[in-house]
Amino acid sequence: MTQAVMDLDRRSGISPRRVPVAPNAVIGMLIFVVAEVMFFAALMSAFTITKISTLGPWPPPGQPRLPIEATAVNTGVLLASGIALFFARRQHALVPRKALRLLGASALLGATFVTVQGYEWVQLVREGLTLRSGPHGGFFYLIVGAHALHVLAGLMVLGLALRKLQRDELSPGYFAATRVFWYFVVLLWPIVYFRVYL
Amino acid sequence: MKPKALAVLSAVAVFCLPALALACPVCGAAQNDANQRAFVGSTIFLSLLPLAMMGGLAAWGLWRVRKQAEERKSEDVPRDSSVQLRLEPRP
Repeated sequence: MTQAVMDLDRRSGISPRRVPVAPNAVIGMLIFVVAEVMFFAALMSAFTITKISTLGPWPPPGQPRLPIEATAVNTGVLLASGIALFFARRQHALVPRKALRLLGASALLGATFVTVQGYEWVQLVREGLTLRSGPHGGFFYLIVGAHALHVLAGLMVLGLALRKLQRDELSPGYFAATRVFWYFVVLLWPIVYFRVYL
Repeated sequence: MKPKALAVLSAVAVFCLPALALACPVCGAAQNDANQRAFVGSTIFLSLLPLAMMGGLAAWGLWRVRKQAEERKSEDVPRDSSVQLRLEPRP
Protein backbone atom coordinates (compact mmCIF):
# COMPACT_ATOMS: atom_id res chain seq x y z
CA MET A 1 0.00 0.00 0.00
CA THR A 2 1.61 3.21 -1.07
CA GLN A 3 0.30 6.66 -1.19
CA ALA A 4 1.08 8.87 -4.13
CA VAL A 5 2.05 11.97 -2.32
CA MET A 6 1.76 14.91 -4.63
CA ASP A 7 4.48 16.68 -2.85
CA LEU A 8 5.38 18.99 -5.70
CA ASP A 9 7.85 21.58 -4.70
CA ARG A 10 6.21 24.73 -5.96
CA ARG A 11 9.42 26.56 -6.58
CA SER A 12 11.63 23.90 -8.14
CA GLY A 13 8.96 21.72 -9.78
CA ILE A 14 10.36 18.41 -8.48
CA SER A 15 8.38 15.32 -9.59
CA PRO A 16 5.83 13.73 -7.21
CA ARG A 17 7.30 11.75 -4.30
CA ARG A 18 5.77 8.36 -3.36
CA VAL A 19 5.89 7.68 0.35
CA PRO A 20 4.87 4.20 1.58
CA VAL A 21 2.19 4.24 4.25
CA ALA A 22 3.80 1.21 5.91
CA PRO A 23 6.66 -1.18 5.02
CA ASN A 24 5.69 -3.95 2.58
CA ALA A 25 6.54 -6.58 5.18
CA VAL A 26 3.97 -5.08 7.56
CA ILE A 27 1.25 -4.95 4.89
CA GLY A 28 1.96 -8.56 3.92
CA MET A 29 1.89 -9.67 7.54
CA LEU A 30 -1.37 -7.81 8.19
CA ILE A 31 -3.04 -9.56 5.26
CA PHE A 32 -1.75 -12.90 6.57
CA VAL A 33 -3.02 -12.12 10.08
CA VAL A 34 -6.48 -11.23 8.69
CA ALA A 35 -6.61 -14.67 7.02
CA GLU A 36 -5.47 -16.33 10.25
CA VAL A 37 -8.11 -14.49 12.27
CA MET A 38 -10.77 -15.91 9.94
CA PHE A 39 -9.29 -19.39 10.36
CA PHE A 40 -9.49 -19.19 14.16
CA ALA A 41 -12.94 -17.54 14.02
CA ALA A 42 -14.22 -20.50 11.99
CA LEU A 43 -12.74 -22.98 14.49
CA MET A 44 -14.24 -21.09 17.44
CA SER A 45 -17.65 -20.89 15.78
CA ALA A 46 -17.68 -24.62 15.09
CA PHE A 47 -16.60 -25.26 18.67
CA THR A 48 -19.29 -22.96 20.11
CA ILE A 49 -22.05 -24.65 18.10
CA THR A 50 -20.84 -28.11 19.09
CA LYS A 51 -20.61 -27.09 22.75
CA ILE A 52 -24.14 -25.65 22.76
CA SER A 53 -25.54 -28.58 20.80
CA THR A 54 -24.26 -31.05 23.37
CA LEU A 55 -26.98 -32.05 25.79
CA GLY A 56 -25.76 -32.00 29.37
CA PRO A 57 -22.67 -30.44 30.92
CA TRP A 58 -19.51 -29.43 29.10
CA PRO A 59 -16.97 -31.06 29.16
CA PRO A 60 -19.00 -34.26 28.87
CA PRO A 61 -18.94 -36.52 31.95
CA GLY A 62 -16.03 -38.92 32.06
CA GLN A 63 -13.73 -36.57 30.17
CA PRO A 64 -10.66 -35.12 31.93
CA ARG A 65 -10.90 -31.55 33.26
CA LEU A 66 -8.69 -28.96 31.63
CA PRO A 67 -5.96 -27.37 33.82
CA ILE A 68 -7.65 -23.96 34.19
CA GLU A 69 -5.42 -22.48 36.94
CA ALA A 70 -2.07 -23.52 35.44
CA THR A 71 -3.15 -22.24 32.04
CA ALA A 72 -4.22 -18.92 33.57
CA VAL A 73 -0.66 -18.47 34.87
CA ASN A 74 0.66 -19.52 31.47
CA THR A 75 -1.61 -16.91 29.86
CA GLY A 76 0.11 -14.32 32.04
CA VAL A 77 3.48 -15.56 30.79
CA LEU A 78 2.45 -15.08 27.15
CA LEU A 79 1.00 -11.64 27.87
CA ALA A 80 4.27 -10.70 29.59
CA SER A 81 6.07 -11.77 26.42
CA GLY A 82 3.93 -9.34 24.43
CA ILE A 83 4.65 -6.55 26.92
CA ALA A 84 8.39 -7.26 26.71
CA LEU A 85 8.19 -6.96 22.92
CA PHE A 86 6.32 -3.66 23.26
CA PHE A 87 9.12 -2.23 25.40
CA ALA A 88 11.73 -3.78 23.07
CA ARG A 89 10.24 -1.72 20.26
CA ARG A 90 10.49 1.47 22.32
CA GLN A 91 14.07 0.68 23.24
CA HIS A 92 14.90 -0.18 19.62
CA ALA A 93 13.70 3.25 18.53
CA LEU A 94 16.12 4.90 20.99
CA VAL A 95 19.19 2.64 21.13
CA PRO A 96 18.74 -0.45 18.89
CA ARG A 97 21.37 -2.61 20.60
CA LYS A 98 19.73 -2.11 23.98
CA ALA A 99 16.57 -3.84 22.75
CA LEU A 100 18.48 -7.14 22.64
CA ARG A 101 17.66 -8.15 26.21
CA LEU A 102 13.97 -7.30 25.96
CA LEU A 103 13.63 -9.10 22.64
CA GLY A 104 15.40 -12.10 24.15
CA ALA A 105 13.08 -11.98 27.18
CA SER A 106 10.06 -11.90 24.89
CA ALA A 107 11.27 -14.98 23.00
CA LEU A 108 12.15 -16.77 26.25
CA LEU A 109 8.69 -16.12 27.74
CA GLY A 110 7.08 -17.36 24.52
CA ALA A 111 9.19 -20.52 24.65
CA THR A 112 8.20 -21.03 28.30
CA PHE A 113 4.53 -20.75 27.34
CA VAL A 114 4.75 -23.38 24.61
CA THR A 115 6.83 -25.70 26.83
CA VAL A 116 4.23 -25.56 29.61
CA GLN A 117 1.52 -26.19 27.00
CA GLY A 118 3.40 -29.26 25.81
CA TYR A 119 3.67 -30.55 29.38
CA GLU A 120 -0.07 -30.01 29.88
CA TRP A 121 -0.82 -31.94 26.70
CA VAL A 122 1.26 -34.90 27.87
CA GLN A 123 -0.69 -34.91 31.17
CA LEU A 124 -4.04 -34.70 29.38
CA VAL A 125 -3.18 -37.52 26.97
CA ARG A 126 -2.18 -39.66 29.99
CA GLU A 127 -5.56 -38.88 31.55
CA GLY A 128 -7.33 -40.08 28.40
CA LEU A 129 -8.09 -36.86 26.50
CA THR A 130 -7.14 -37.55 22.90
CA LEU A 131 -8.19 -36.34 19.46
CA ARG A 132 -10.47 -39.35 19.14
CA SER A 133 -11.98 -39.27 22.63
CA GLY A 134 -14.87 -37.09 21.42
CA PRO A 135 -15.70 -33.55 20.34
CA HIS A 136 -14.18 -32.15 23.55
CA GLY A 137 -10.74 -33.63 22.86
CA GLY A 138 -10.98 -33.08 19.12
CA PHE A 139 -11.71 -29.38 19.38
CA PHE A 140 -9.30 -28.86 22.26
CA TYR A 141 -6.31 -30.26 20.38
CA LEU A 142 -7.35 -28.65 17.11
CA ILE A 143 -7.77 -25.10 18.44
CA VAL A 144 -5.03 -25.10 21.07
CA GLY A 145 -2.73 -27.03 18.73
CA ALA A 146 -3.28 -24.56 15.90
CA HIS A 147 -2.41 -21.74 18.29
CA ALA A 148 0.67 -23.60 19.55
CA LEU A 149 1.87 -23.99 15.95
CA HIS A 150 1.50 -20.24 15.51
CA VAL A 151 3.50 -19.66 18.70
CA LEU A 152 6.28 -21.89 17.34
CA ALA A 153 6.27 -19.99 14.04
CA GLY A 154 6.34 -16.72 15.99
CA LEU A 155 9.30 -17.96 18.04
CA MET A 156 11.21 -18.69 14.83
CA VAL A 157 10.47 -15.17 13.55
CA LEU A 158 11.49 -13.68 16.92
CA GLY A 159 14.68 -15.75 16.87
CA LEU A 160 15.55 -14.44 13.41
CA ALA A 161 14.86 -10.87 14.57
CA LEU A 162 17.13 -11.46 17.56
CA ARG A 163 19.89 -12.76 15.31
CA LYS A 164 19.52 -9.82 12.94
CA LEU A 165 19.65 -7.41 15.86
CA GLN A 166 22.85 -9.00 17.14
CA ARG A 167 24.40 -8.39 13.71
CA ASP A 168 22.95 -4.86 13.45
CA GLU A 169 20.94 -5.99 10.43
CA LEU A 170 17.42 -5.67 11.86
CA SER A 171 15.42 -3.43 9.55
CA PRO A 172 12.44 -1.46 10.95
CA GLY A 173 10.14 -3.20 8.43
CA TYR A 174 11.15 -6.71 9.51
CA PHE A 175 10.88 -5.81 13.17
CA ALA A 176 7.44 -4.25 12.67
CA ALA A 177 6.17 -7.34 10.81
CA THR A 178 7.55 -9.55 13.60
CA ARG A 179 5.68 -7.49 16.18
CA VAL A 180 2.42 -7.67 14.21
CA PHE A 181 2.59 -11.47 14.15
CA TRP A 182 3.62 -11.85 17.78
CA TYR A 183 0.94 -9.44 19.03
CA PHE A 184 -1.61 -11.46 17.06
CA VAL A 185 -0.43 -14.69 18.71
CA VAL A 186 -0.40 -13.08 22.17
CA LEU A 187 -3.79 -11.37 21.90
CA LEU A 188 -5.47 -14.41 20.38
CA TRP A 189 -4.60 -16.65 23.31
CA PRO A 190 -6.83 -15.03 26.01
CA ILE A 191 -9.80 -15.43 23.63
CA VAL A 192 -8.91 -19.10 23.08
CA TYR A 193 -8.48 -19.56 26.82
CA PHE A 194 -11.87 -18.04 27.69
CA ARG A 195 -13.70 -19.95 24.97
CA VAL A 196 -12.06 -23.36 25.29
CA TYR A 197 -10.96 -23.65 28.93
CA LEU A 198 -13.70 -21.77 30.80
CA MET B 1 -39.05 -12.03 -21.31
CA LYS B 2 -38.00 -8.44 -20.94
CA PRO B 3 -35.20 -7.74 -18.44
CA LYS B 4 -37.42 -5.36 -16.46
CA ALA B 5 -40.18 -7.96 -16.06
CA LEU B 6 -37.58 -10.56 -15.09
CA ALA B 7 -36.19 -8.26 -12.41
CA VAL B 8 -39.68 -7.63 -10.97
CA LEU B 9 -40.48 -11.35 -10.97
CA SER B 10 -37.15 -12.12 -9.27
CA ALA B 11 -37.82 -9.50 -6.59
CA VAL B 12 -41.30 -10.95 -5.95
CA ALA B 13 -39.82 -14.44 -5.72
CA VAL B 14 -37.19 -13.28 -3.25
CA PHE B 15 -39.84 -11.79 -0.95
CA CYS B 16 -42.38 -14.63 -1.32
CA LEU B 17 -40.22 -17.73 -1.07
CA PRO B 18 -37.78 -17.26 1.82
CA ALA B 19 -39.33 -20.09 3.80
CA LEU B 20 -38.67 -22.52 0.98
CA ALA B 21 -35.12 -21.42 0.30
CA LEU B 22 -33.28 -21.04 3.60
CA ALA B 23 -30.02 -19.19 3.16
CA CYS B 24 -28.37 -21.51 5.65
CA PRO B 25 -29.87 -25.02 5.55
CA VAL B 26 -27.82 -26.00 8.61
CA CYS B 27 -29.49 -23.28 10.72
CA GLY B 28 -32.88 -24.78 9.85
CA ALA B 29 -31.67 -28.16 11.08
CA ALA B 30 -30.89 -26.82 14.55
CA GLN B 31 -32.11 -29.13 17.30
CA ASN B 32 -33.24 -26.49 19.79
CA ASP B 33 -33.46 -22.74 20.39
CA ALA B 34 -29.98 -22.47 21.92
CA ASN B 35 -28.51 -24.34 18.98
CA GLN B 36 -30.32 -22.11 16.50
CA ARG B 37 -29.14 -18.99 18.34
CA ALA B 38 -25.59 -20.30 18.18
CA PHE B 39 -25.90 -20.86 14.42
CA VAL B 40 -27.34 -17.39 13.83
CA GLY B 41 -24.75 -15.76 16.14
CA SER B 42 -21.91 -17.57 14.39
CA THR B 43 -23.25 -16.59 10.97
CA ILE B 44 -23.45 -12.93 11.98
CA PHE B 45 -20.00 -13.06 13.63
CA LEU B 46 -18.32 -14.72 10.65
CA SER B 47 -20.06 -12.37 8.21
CA LEU B 48 -19.14 -9.17 10.01
CA LEU B 49 -15.60 -10.10 11.08
CA PRO B 50 -13.95 -9.77 7.64
CA LEU B 51 -15.78 -6.50 7.02
CA ALA B 52 -14.64 -5.17 10.40
CA MET B 53 -11.04 -6.21 9.73
CA MET B 54 -10.94 -4.74 6.23
CA GLY B 55 -12.57 -1.57 7.56
CA GLY B 56 -10.02 -1.46 10.36
CA LEU B 57 -7.14 -1.84 7.91
CA ALA B 58 -8.55 0.90 5.68
CA ALA B 59 -9.03 3.21 8.69
CA TRP B 60 -5.48 2.50 9.84
CA GLY B 61 -4.13 3.27 6.34
CA LEU B 62 -6.07 6.53 6.27
CA TRP B 63 -4.77 7.45 9.71
CA ARG B 64 -1.19 6.79 8.55
CA VAL B 65 -1.68 8.92 5.45
CA ARG B 66 -3.01 11.83 7.52
CA LYS B 67 -0.23 11.48 10.07
CA GLN B 68 2.40 11.53 7.34
CA ALA B 69 0.75 14.58 5.77
CA GLU B 70 0.86 16.39 9.14
CA GLU B 71 4.51 15.44 9.62
CA ARG B 72 5.34 16.79 6.16
CA LYS B 73 3.51 20.01 6.92
CA SER B 74 5.49 20.50 10.11
CA GLU B 75 8.71 19.86 8.17
CA ASP B 76 7.80 22.54 5.63
CA VAL B 77 8.19 25.38 8.08
CA PRO B 78 8.85 28.61 6.17
CA ARG B 79 12.35 29.89 6.58
CA ASP B 80 12.84 32.76 8.93
CA SER B 81 13.80 35.71 6.80
CA SER B 82 15.43 37.42 9.75
CA VAL B 83 18.17 34.76 9.90
CA GLN B 84 21.14 35.98 7.93
CA LEU B 85 23.58 33.60 6.32
CA ARG B 86 27.06 34.58 7.24
CA LEU B 87 29.93 33.31 5.16
CA GLU B 88 33.24 33.06 6.88
CA PRO B 89 36.53 32.75 5.06
CA ARG B 90 38.25 29.40 5.19
CA PRO B 91 41.22 29.23 7.53
